[in-house]
Amino acid sequence: MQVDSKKIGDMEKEGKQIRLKLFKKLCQVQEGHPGSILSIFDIVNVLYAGDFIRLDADANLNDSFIMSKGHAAAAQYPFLVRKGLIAEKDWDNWGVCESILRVFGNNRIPGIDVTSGSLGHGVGIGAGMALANRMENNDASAWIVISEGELYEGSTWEALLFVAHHNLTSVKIILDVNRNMILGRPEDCVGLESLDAKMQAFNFDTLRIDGHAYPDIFAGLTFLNEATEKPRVLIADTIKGKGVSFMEDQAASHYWGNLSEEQMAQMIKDLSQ
Amino acid sequence: MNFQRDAFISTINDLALTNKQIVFLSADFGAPALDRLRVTVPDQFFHLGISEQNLIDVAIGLALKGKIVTTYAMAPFISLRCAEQHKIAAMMELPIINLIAGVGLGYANAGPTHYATEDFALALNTIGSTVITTADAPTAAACAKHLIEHPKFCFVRMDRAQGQDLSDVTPSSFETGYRTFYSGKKIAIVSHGYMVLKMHNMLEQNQNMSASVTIFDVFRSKPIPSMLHKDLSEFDHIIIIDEQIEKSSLGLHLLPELMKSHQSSQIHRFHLSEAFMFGNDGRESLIKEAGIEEDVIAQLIADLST
Repeated sequence: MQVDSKKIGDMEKEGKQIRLKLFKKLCQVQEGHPGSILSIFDIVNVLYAGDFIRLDADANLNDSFIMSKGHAAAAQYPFLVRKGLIAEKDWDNWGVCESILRVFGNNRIPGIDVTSGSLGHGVGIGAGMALANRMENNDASAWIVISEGELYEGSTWEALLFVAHHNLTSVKIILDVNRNMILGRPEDCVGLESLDAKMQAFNFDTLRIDGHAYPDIFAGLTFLNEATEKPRVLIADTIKGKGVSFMEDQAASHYWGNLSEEQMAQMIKDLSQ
Repeated sequence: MNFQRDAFISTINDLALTNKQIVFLSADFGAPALDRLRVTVPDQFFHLGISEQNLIDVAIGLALKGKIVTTYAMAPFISLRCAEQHKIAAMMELPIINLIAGVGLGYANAGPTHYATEDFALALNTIGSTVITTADAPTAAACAKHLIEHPKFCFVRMDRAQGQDLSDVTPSSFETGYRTFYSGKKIAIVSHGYMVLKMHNMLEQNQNMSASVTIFDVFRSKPIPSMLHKDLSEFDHIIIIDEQIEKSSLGLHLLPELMKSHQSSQIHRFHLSEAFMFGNDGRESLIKEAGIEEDVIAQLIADLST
């Protein structure tokens, strides 16, 4: 696919505005998982704004999007508001009064296809969706964002085996590698690398990208979209807390915690740049 | 003498021939009827290997896209191994029929890893679930038809062994939720699954006992059948028995409902002890070891009848 650099530039610029809007909202909500949202936000932006996720067809023909790392589901909300799926009222009310929105996504929220929060389910659920689509001769895709932390769940590997065996090329897996879990780095816990080799050994084609470089993201999602021979995994190296000076690459940015007024002001300032 | 699992799967198979929304998943668990299903509707069957957690996740994905999914594996593993997956499926109110084969001590001599003596608690405590425990093949077949006609998230618990067919059951019976055998007026034996067969056989062999006893086969234990309490309120004593540990027992499940009409002294609960059982002299030996064999129940009935 030809990459239109102006379009990508515009997407990045507008994405920053959307990200700022999201974090102003999170400052009202005062809970959630800012570091994880920021590590995946740029990719989510391109998925929606780049129309990689097909959302305009008949509901049954639409693509599905599974935010398997459910703690980052809020990254989807501003895009679903823009698509007209989430009501403006629910967005406005979130953190203020009753709203359908939650820190973790659930499928009662329009546009959220799968209830998530518990880790390690996304690939298997996406595989089931892809099987159903195949049975119906439906070419819809199941886009799945998983975190590297979910690779500690055995069910993820069970599902990867299954996807590869059935050659479910409509399963499009994005692996967010931000190298931070709640208690620190994976390599200090149980090492995960080399992820490329592991996925290839499971019979996936892989591409590894900088998950914040828009041309890379665009190329990576195109790589997933063009899978025909084998299912593919896009491994995205990202930065937890990307864009917020005191959160970047910090495990502690996983939770909102007790951010002070000064920190929230700094966050908004950083994200405004 | 028929297998419940074969009756259930055969019915699913027959319906799947014309209903392409029906999908069957197995975690490397077989049955003669499944051999036929794999041949007659191969595009609607998937063998996932021994991966119960993925089995349920895949079922969730299929169900989200409109399929009616039956999952099938050995009872201890398709229950506890994937408890959280069941929770998520139930949360999304998906039409997934979890076929739990070999409950209780059905895998006697295999040892405690293979006993499902606490699975009923998991099924009951999965929010929004329907829980069915079949005692014979006609019930299993009717259950399959009912669930395809009224898809919902449910657990269908059944025995692995061949057993006697007790009576015909229709799919509409699942609206009622139970059936009765004998018509004594004094003592009700309330059970489900394998223990229904044992109690039925006990009364067959002790016809004088049957004059005072009615057996209630509560095949739909959740939601608790609406008429059960009223029907049981007419009995002086209620004996509740199944092959689960106490915290997972039918007796504990029904107790709050029954306490509305009976004193605790009128309710006699029988269940397994909370212990892993390592004996290898067969199922009946384990049941005797647990103190829930027919002789004990018969003696209690004799005592209560005098």
